[in-house]
Amino acid sequence: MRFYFTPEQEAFRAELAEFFKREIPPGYNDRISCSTVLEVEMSEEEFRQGLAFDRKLIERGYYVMHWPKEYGGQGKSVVDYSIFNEAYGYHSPPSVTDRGRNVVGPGLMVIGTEEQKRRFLPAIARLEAITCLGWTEPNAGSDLSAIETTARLDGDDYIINGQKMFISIAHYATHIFMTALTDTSVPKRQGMSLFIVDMRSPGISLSPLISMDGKRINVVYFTDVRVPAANLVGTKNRGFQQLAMTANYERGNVALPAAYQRVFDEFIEFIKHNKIGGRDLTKDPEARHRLADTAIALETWRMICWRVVWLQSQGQVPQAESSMVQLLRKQTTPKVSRLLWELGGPLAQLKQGTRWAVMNGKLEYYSQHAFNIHGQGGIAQTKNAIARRGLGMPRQQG
Amino acid sequence: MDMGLSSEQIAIRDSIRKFLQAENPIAVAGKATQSPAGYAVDVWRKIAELGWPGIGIPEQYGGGGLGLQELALMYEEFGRALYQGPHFGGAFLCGQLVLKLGSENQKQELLPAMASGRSIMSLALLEESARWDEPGISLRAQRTRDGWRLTGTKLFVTHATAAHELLCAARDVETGGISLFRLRDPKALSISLMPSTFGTLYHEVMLRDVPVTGDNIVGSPGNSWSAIREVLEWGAAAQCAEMVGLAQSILDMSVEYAKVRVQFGRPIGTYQAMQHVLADMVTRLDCARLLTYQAVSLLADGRPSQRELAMAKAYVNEGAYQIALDGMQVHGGIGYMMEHPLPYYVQRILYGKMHLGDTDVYLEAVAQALGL
Repeated sequence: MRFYFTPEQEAFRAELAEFFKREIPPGYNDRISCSTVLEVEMSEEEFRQGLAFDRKLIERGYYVMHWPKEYGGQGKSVVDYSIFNEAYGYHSPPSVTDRGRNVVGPGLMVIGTEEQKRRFLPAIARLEAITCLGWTEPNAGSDLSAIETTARLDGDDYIINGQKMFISIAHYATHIFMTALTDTSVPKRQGMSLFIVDMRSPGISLSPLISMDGKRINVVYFTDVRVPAANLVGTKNRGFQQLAMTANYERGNVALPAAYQRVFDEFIEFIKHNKIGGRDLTKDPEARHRLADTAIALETWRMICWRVVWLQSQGQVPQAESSMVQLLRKQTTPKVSRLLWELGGPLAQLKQGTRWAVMNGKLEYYSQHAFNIHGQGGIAQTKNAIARRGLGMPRQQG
Repeated sequence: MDMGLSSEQIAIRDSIRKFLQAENPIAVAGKATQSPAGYAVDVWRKIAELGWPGIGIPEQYGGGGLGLQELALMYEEFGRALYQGPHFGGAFLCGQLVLKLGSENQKQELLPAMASGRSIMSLALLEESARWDEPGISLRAQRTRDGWRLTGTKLFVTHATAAHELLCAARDVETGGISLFRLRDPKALSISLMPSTFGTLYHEVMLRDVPVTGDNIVGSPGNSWSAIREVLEWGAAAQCAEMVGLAQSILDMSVEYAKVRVQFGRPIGTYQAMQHVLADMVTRLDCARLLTYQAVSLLADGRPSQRELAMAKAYVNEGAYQIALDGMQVHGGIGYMMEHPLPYYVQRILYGKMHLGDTDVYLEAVAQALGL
């Protein structure tokens, strides 16, 4: 039992902290940064800035350090990679996306053909391919098996028709990693396949959805989109089962608790040096206890994430442990933002642009972001998974 | 980051678990605190034969030479099996205090006796404030020609009538600091039972001009508080571990019951509402265990741990309490009956939550660790 880092790992943490402090543009984090961890909406200029910073991560070898060397990685352990991810979340640099390196790439490594790995992995590792995830649809949210999008074989191509809903960064992506039904004559779980599709393919169109925190999400429409059969990833009609294997990789994401820890730490520093609405919160017994309680919640969330990382480092496949990460996220982010919203008082609703805004509008941003508690299943569905996978409780009958 | 146990630790844990399953069934464990000694004497004798009282005492003093990690694992098993004996306030806390503060002679005399279970010590610390802090100690130690005279009242002294001697914290009148004294004949003191949820566990010990000779001070006069504080930190970590074990048992019996209890024609565990309660319980338990092990690991290796220990005790207090409530929900009426093990576990969680500081104390400690 050693719940702390080795001297080598501490040295790596120090290296990362120094790197991020040196390379992140001055003043960048004084406002809401377009960190990919929080998925803040990016302007065209911020997108270019993020791309430039991601290239620095690539140059330094951090970006896909957990990948095997043959696909452009460094072959580092999941623990080392998570140390990087934690620093990445905490320092919140400009960045475009981490989906390729966290989800699509590792998924391809498990289920892709050798030809697909060679074609896509180096491109993802160099961010020449920016991938979004096309799993959800208007009638397939918590139930990812309920999709209606179809892929019909036509010679050497598949013809895709349907629509994908709630697709982040689709408007910047070069590729979409998606599900479609390749056999509509059987139950959907037996007839689904995974595809990588070029977003420039004729027949793809987008329409924006704007989220509570001001971010553009997308509906992606497919009308007779022609995709080479070679872009079917994994085993035909086994896509639903292989999707579950793919999704496991992003579960122990230590970056998000780190991003929330960052704003919490900034708030603590802020109230040490500033009154809010004339009140010194550091002297208020109730505020002190609420801040302590929230600090504990953040640490707990972090430990639950690190447990998944540790299990993966031991060659185990986390089950209920992964669902607990989701549950802790959905319980902790509202706790943090509610604390900020309430301790900030009426000033917490102000955005950047008035000198009265607390921490340049960060409180306002987090107050909205914390309602992003639906991804990868809601709280109820997450608890079902914990009870069934962790405790062996039976499925509900009837 | 290594969240796992060594194979040796797993072996220790498993042998303690197996022993307690066989020797400390609920019929024994539930009655222990109601017995005259305040604990199950037979079980303790067998535990002593196995050498467990000395697990945290160095081998040169007859102990097992292991550290806080193994102590915590032992306490997790104690919790799981609802074992309650004279170890905590004795060979654990007093043992560590003697180890830190005692003279070589005192170590030679006291530690092997405690490690083997021949001698039971008990720590007399709390007074009227009932807080585990330095200002709470006001029992006076007045210097005399050949030692000290102690006057004051100690409360919540555990197993005071069974103890062969007490280790008593007192305020040195000259320096204002805290000293520790051996009281070698507890039976000569004025001891009275403090009836509580926990039967015969607690006693009040009144001292009026009790003479203590100079060789019975442990540590130097007025300088013992920092060692006491350090030992209480170890104690808090082990207390967390015990509550994790208690909560684990409540979860286990709740899962089992939900699978077999049929209402409205089907096992209650098939209802999602019930599954969500169980999911909350197991998640809280895992969080509690992770925070506890983190604090144990840092403390055991002498690393900075104020923040992590305070977080662990605050979280475990609340988490275990909620698991106790949820366990009651799963069980319904039978869980509230003393024929069932659940009430004993719930009561022990109430004890652990308050013991060494309730949540408010540790929230304040976290706030201070945040620099507030």
